Amino acid sequence: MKLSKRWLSDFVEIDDLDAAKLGSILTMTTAEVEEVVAWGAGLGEIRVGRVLEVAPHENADRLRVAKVDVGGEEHTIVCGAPNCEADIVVPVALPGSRLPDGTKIKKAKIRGVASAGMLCSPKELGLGEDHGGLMLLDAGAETGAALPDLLPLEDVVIDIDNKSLTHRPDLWGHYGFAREIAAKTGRELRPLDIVDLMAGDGGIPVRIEATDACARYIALAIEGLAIQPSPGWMQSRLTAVGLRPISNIVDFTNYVMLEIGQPMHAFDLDRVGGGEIRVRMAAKGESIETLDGVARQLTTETLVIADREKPVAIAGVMGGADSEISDATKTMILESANFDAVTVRRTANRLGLRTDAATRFEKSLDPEFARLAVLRFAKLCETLVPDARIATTYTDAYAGPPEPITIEIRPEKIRRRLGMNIPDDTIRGTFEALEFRVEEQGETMLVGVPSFRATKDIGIEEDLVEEVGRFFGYDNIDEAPLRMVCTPPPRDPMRRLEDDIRDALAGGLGFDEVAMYSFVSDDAARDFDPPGTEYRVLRNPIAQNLSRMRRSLVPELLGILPQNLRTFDDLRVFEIGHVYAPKSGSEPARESRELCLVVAGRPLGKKASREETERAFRTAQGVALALLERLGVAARLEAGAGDRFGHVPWAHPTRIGRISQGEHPLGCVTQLHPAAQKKLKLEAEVALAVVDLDAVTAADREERTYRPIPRFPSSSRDLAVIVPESVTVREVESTIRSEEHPLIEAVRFFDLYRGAPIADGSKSLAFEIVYQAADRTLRDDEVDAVHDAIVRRIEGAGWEIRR
Amino acid sequence: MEKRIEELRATAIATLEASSSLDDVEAARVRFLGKNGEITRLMKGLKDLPAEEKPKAGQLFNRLKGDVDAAVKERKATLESSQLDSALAADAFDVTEPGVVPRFGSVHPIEQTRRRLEDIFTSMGFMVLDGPEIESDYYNFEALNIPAHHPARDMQDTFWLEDGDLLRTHTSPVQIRAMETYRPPIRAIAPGRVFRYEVTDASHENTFHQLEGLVIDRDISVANLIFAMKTLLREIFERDVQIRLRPGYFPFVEPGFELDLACLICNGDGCKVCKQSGWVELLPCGMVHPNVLRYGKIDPEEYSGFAFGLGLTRLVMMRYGIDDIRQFLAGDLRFLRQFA
Repeated sequence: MKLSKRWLSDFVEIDDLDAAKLGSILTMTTAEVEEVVAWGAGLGEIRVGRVLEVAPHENADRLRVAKVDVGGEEHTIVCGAPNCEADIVVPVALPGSRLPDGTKIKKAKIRGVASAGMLCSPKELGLGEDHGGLMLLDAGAETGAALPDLLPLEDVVIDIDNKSLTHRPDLWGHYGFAREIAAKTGRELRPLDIVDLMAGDGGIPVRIEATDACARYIALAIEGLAIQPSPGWMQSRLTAVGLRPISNIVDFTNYVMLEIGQPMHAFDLDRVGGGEIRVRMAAKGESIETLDGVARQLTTETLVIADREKPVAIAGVMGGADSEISDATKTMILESANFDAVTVRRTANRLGLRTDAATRFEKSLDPEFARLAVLRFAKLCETLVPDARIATTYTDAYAGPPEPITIEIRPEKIRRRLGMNIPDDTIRGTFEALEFRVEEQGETMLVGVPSFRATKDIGIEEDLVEEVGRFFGYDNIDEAPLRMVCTPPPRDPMRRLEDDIRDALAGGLGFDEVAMYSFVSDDAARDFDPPGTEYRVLRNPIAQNLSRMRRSLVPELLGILPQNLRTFDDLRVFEIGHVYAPKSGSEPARESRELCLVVAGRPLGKKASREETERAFRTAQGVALALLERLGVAARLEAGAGDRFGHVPWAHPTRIGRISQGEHPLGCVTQLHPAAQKKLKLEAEVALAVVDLDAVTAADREERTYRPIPRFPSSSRDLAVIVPESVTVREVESTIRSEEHPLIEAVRFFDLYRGAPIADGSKSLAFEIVYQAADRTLRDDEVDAVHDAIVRRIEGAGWEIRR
Repeated sequence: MEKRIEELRATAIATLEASSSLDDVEAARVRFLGKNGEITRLMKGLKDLPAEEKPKAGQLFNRLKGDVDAAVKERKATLESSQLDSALAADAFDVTEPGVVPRFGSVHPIEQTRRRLEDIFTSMGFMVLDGPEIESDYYNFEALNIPAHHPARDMQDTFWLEDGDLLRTHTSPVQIRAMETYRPPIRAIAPGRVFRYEVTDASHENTFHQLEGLVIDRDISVANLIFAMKTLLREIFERDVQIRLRPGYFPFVEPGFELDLACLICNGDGCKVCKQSGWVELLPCGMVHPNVLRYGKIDPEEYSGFAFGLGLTRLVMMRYGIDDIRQFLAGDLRFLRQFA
């Protein structure tokens, strides 16, 4: 919301406060000031002129040639504005003068016609965004004067962040801010200039049927209010705070709204069927054409203002087109009401109509504002349109004001909450400056909340603590250390696990951590999630193709490979993040954590050896298992995709293994499926490992224990076994280990060989077997005995020892 | 005899001095000191000497052997040393050629800063908590004193899920979860990912990180809040900082504040970064609203507390001078590797 300094100074003396000071008072005490700007400055060289006659331009249809009188001198000026016509009074920039933006006006030929100056729109004068036509000045004004002498435009405009006013229905008009400034500076707050009018018959009956949704409805009849422009000073104030002047009636209602915060609406009495106003919920199937010309379907949750038959306005949101004031209006009905905040908010949101009125009503306005606003409007009308005839009474449908709020508070509580020793007198002074009534009873104060703060804003002791705090100034509170609680905080094992993984992968193994969005794009989901995957879905995605919450980190992570492989030829990246499973049968929706690491090597040519094509996989495999081991989790890679990864498009069906601890699956390592690789147009071999971190946290951890360093030398023997291709390293190793002799200290696979003299379809696997005794140096014959037994087991399995 | 000894000494010394390689020295050693060397052979004449001359000649021989042996060692040492020198000279290479550089990986810059903050807070006795990213309306709004149809819901544009849940718009739901799990005194922080339904540009993201803080104990005051915030910011920025609190509205605190930091670029004099104001808006904070304490089953008559929400992403941007928030989730290693 924008505030005009000129306007504020109607209510509190602030001429001595410059823009910066005023901004700082409001920022530190009341609400966030976004910007303070000078308004209407630099207009000293602009003159007032009257258009004498307008002729067509000989070379251009859109342009016209105006003869303009500026202080008795006649000037010919080419003008393109649609509202340029004889007898209007407008701002004129003559040759040699400067516009506020610094542009210097020169004599010029425009499409062949000499033009001595420029007739100005508000925008050209830096007075708002209106560029639709010339700025119209008071038709009776004398020409030749400097514009600022005719119209006091120069002002300071303070832009307040609306979010900081969400809880303050009293601050949606200038008067509320004036009250805050007066209270902070200890100055007098001048009363609003209103008429003295009583409630009574008012000339139109009002019936509130939906009493829950409308607490008060005031109607005032005014006759003979002809539609014409509002006075220049009012137009310039409205413009300064961002509203476009329209006509006197619209401008008056807006002016009062910006002063008090109370929205109002004007009807044409003759177009209110039956001459009666009913405030009711809309009936099913009803509709209305609103002022913006749109037909709106109403629901039974919509509060409407209706005549005897039909709705004439959507309460608190927007009026209807049918009952709008026009030149033909004889009697105007001014509505000033108090509508329920939630009802208005719901309707405005449903219709997408976030009007100024709705924005205010949804903050829970003071019902007293409705009365003040009507009396203020009447005062403006009385002063500015002396011909208008205001009814002698207004109709006031009102069950009476709500019970006043009184809060009992001990000043000691205020001091303790703020942590500052503020004297009782200062506390009481603050309350009274803000129009709270204070009654002291021993140790406590009974604080009566004024009606304009009582609707939503102030209800509990803490609210009063804030009032004292902000007027005392938080800057004046001295810091006080926290007292110590001497216990170590509990630690979350998952968080530690995540950071341990980061340390190992990034610090030790050269991986880069990547973070991606929590959404999976439709394309990535289609390409890389298993068919039939269910997702948690956003109702309002940021883009239509981003409505799904990711089930796996893989699809989006794969997506960044092509771009990065253009720059880097050896990638190792990982991501740790949440994945989101939807509700499935009786299983509730579940959020879990995943680690995905990706290894991409350099592109391999067609002649790459089998070993080279395995390298990415072997790296991912080695890293994943070494990482788990480092985390204290003993896990193994089991051959095959299993159920979980069997239908995953990125998993390579024959180069995949499941990481598991006993029966518990922890994840998988796989080479990227060639189809996925092709889809991504990747030439590099890619492998990835996916680890379920929730499963890792739940897995058994091995505590590290010390084992004595052997005092006697070990002895080792190599063993090469020729097996068919289908036999795995693990099978051979298990066969070796099945000897289970206490002297066998370790069995390590160290080489694989294919080729002559080994027959096609077979391979040679080489193992080192380490023998060790704790209490002696082994003799060769002891070792040979065990080793021979192992050889017999190998041969027993039908395999050949390579000698 | 004596004369022959002296001649042999002279020959031996001269031979050694003339030798230019270790092989020559060895040959000289064999020639003079070897089993059949010249000195040994000459010594064989000792037995022919008269008995009274024998002791003296014996002494002379011993000295001769000692001197030649010493000369051999010295010459050997000299030659070895110069051989080493020339070997070293031949070894010389250009040390300014790059070394074999190991590539460290990188932890995401947001995670790095998060961890630094966690360290600061755990050192102050705070626990580090976590919460789900998909939240219920209850935790994200209702229990934080933002009932349905409250205008404050507009302050946080929300991603809604079709099933009625939502992507948490702030880390504040963890306040309620903390109160449900732990009893006062509570000191906790909760860093994490949050979401806003917002169009992205260089300074707006729909996904970013916050760090929530919560302290609940008896008689916690605004003065404590100021202390904690100053301490925190001093640790983060590793220098003394000036802060100010001004009123701010957030339904889950009362009173609520915006905390401004005196601009670190211009020290409060006014510059482009602080839009000439001298202050940079840094974080919202406030005293925990009694309704929120009640939702957390904590008696507001007995306890009070403060809470704050630090914009982790924004802090990282300030720390490194990053001018486009979209970099964080773009998965571009040219960006990420800068933080290795």
